[in-house]
Amino acid sequence: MINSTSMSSRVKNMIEQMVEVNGGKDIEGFIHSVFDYACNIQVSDKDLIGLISKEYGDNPYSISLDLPPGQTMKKLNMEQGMRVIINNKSIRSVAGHFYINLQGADSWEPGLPKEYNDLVDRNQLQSNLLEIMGTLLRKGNFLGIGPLIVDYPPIIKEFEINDFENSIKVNHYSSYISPRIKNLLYGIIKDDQVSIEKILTGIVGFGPGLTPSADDLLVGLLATLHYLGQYYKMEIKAISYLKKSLIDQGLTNQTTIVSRQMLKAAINGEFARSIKELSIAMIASKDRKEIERAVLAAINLGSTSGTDTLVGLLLGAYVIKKIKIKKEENYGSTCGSKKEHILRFGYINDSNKRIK
Amino acid sequence: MIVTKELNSISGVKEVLVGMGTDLNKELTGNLNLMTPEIEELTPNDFYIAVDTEKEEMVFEEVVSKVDELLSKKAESQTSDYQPATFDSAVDALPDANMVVISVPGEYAADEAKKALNKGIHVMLFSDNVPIEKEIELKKLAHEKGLLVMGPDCGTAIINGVPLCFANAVNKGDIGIVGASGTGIQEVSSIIGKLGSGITQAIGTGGRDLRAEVGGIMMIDGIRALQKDPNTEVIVLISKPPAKEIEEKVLNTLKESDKPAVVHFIGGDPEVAKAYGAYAGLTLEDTAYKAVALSRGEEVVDVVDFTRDKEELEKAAKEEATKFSQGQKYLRGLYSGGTLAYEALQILQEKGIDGYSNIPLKSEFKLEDVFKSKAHTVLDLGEDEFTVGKPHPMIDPSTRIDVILKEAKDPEVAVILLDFVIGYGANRDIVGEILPGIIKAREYAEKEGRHLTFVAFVCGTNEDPQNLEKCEVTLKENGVYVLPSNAQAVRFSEKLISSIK
Repeated sequence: MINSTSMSSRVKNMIEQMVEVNGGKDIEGFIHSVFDYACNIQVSDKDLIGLISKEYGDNPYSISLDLPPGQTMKKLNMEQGMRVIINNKSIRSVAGHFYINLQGADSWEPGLPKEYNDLVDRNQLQSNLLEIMGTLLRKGNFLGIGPLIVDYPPIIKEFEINDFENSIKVNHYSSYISPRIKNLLYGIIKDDQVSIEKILTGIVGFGPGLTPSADDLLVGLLATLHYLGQYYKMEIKAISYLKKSLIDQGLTNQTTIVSRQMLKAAINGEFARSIKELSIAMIASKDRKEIERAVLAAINLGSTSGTDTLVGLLLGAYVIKKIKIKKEENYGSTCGSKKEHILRFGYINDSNKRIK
Repeated sequence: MIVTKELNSISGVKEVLVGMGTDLNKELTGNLNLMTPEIEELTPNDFYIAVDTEKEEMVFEEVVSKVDELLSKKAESQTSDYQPATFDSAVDALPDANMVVISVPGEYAADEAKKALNKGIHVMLFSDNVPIEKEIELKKLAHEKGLLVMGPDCGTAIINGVPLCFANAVNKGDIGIVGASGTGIQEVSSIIGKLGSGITQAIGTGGRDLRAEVGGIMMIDGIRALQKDPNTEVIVLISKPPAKEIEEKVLNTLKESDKPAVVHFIGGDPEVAKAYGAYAGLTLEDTAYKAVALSRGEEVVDVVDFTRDKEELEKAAKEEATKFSQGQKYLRGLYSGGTLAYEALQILQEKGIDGYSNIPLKSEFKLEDVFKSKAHTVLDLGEDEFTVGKPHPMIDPSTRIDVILKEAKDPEVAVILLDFVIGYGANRDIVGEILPGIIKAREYAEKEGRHLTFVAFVCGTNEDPQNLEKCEVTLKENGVYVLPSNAQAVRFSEKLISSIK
């Protein structure tokens, strides 16, 4: 028997609701994918429940397990397609190969906090963002689309990036998607629903990884849109535009099922525990070490996923700042011009053009 | 990411793309002129690697071999053996193999076994949960083809001197075994080995083979194989009592040759085997002793007592019993081997003790809650209720340690009886891993003013990787009474209990 240590309230509610709809009876799913320390159980056409070793952190759509040293999902005989029985107390294979005890698991809330004890001032916020960027550049894994962060002159300026351009190499993925991400950021700053929706079709599902890099970046972007929206007490319209495209118009269908789940949660303000904790630290902590620790924990999400997410988070911070400035200075009237685009992002690029 | 990095480092590689088959990744692939019809067909949940190379043939081969190496790296880090992912790749890797061990979830196992039989390969089916109709189909097919299907749920076999799954290193000799019980085969073959004799083959049949529906197909084919084997002089059968009509078929088959046979239908009537001219094994140990006697042409006698130091053991039991406190009176047998637990219940019953169990001899002694022992209790910790989500207790001792500690807290418990099954497939240091639990349990009891006696036996041989003698010495040095067989360990435990005043 394997014990679960924690479970997001999202997963807990999902299981409870499905069991209730099923008249209180057990529900059935099947194993969608298996890795050494994680597996995904598909419980409906669109819903996955993840099982993950607690060492890898808590996700809004996952149950964390206390795997003994040396134990892996594969050693528990989990196999793709294997049928499983789920109820409020356990998840077990139909054939009895494994039994996961859900009783006693801590339930944690992946969503946004309703209130904060103390938020930092804007200078501290800027200092926290610089700390996040510095740690990310030193410790991140830039083999996904992360290198695009050093491809945007205003970002380099905003975050005072000096020596990293040479050490972070642009790759096929980053150079290909970079112009589209720029256009998305611009669309968000400009509050241009039509262009956001259009650009997103060229972003979702792009890049390496089971959660493609571009999707990770969108999650990071959504984290700052939600958290800095709370910080500035601003309604960020882009969130509803993103929701409309990703969920209502079904754009998440063009990516992997695991990523779909992640984006769905992020739209609702639900993030992996390490991303949530970093986001809170970003707006509420004055402790540089605490920020650094939170960044390192977030970087450890997946292979490049953590880095791609943090790149999205920092780009989001830049976007929010610009929206804020635009609002404060009533800046909007000139934003739509080509000239302003060039000023903001350095250059215009045809998103379909091949970049060497 | 590692794949991208490693492939990029191969000379002649121009472009590498690794990703899921989303439309946008396919778009990038096309943009880099790497699109193929296969990639076009991918869905977002498919993984692919696209590589563009200079001198196509040579570099591509290097890339493919590098990808193979990288993708199998994790499996290799767990074991140095090559682990083919499919039956076909296993056959490709070892084209001369004539036996396959199948251990995949039950619902898929029969299909894999069928593939093997159709290629003329004998099957050992370790998997359980194979539907009985599939078992019948497979065994009929194997019978037609003159092949063996050992299993399903067969955990023990020794073929041509090679221990398969859970089995012991037993010297070659002239005794052939066919058994429907894994630990039964282990105990009998190990004792044969300890007595200085050896075996030809130990063929497992799977526990359901002697059920009426299956008809003992493999037991009968196994007997015939041993009858034809020129190296086999004595045949041993081990099983729980079969269905009546099957019993008759099996025992009649033994009469087809002159080779003497020892039959141990565990818990069955010994007179039945005798009626068919076979010798009846009274316990697993007695079965082994009788087979060895037949092999050596010695007189066949019943071995149903201590085989050495009888007086000392009886004296020790009496002395030990004086150490128990008021109220300590019960035995708890905590077994990793199912047949061994069953045999313990049998021997206790013969001595007038009915043991509660999760595998009781009488339904009224079935434990309502297997986690709450009652009076004298013998547990098979290899049963599903204890192993869900965990490896078998012969591999993972954690459940047994938990139960030992739990029993130590029961003020009515006096004796804890343990089996230690060593050999291939078993934990590499089962004694070393359980010992801290024994010591802790004893300390706990002592703090409470009680004395706890541990009795054990080790099923295995000195040729096993864990070494029988080393295991026995370690246990003895730590105050555990070690007997040479399950039967004797149960008898000694019973002596302890009956000596309590």
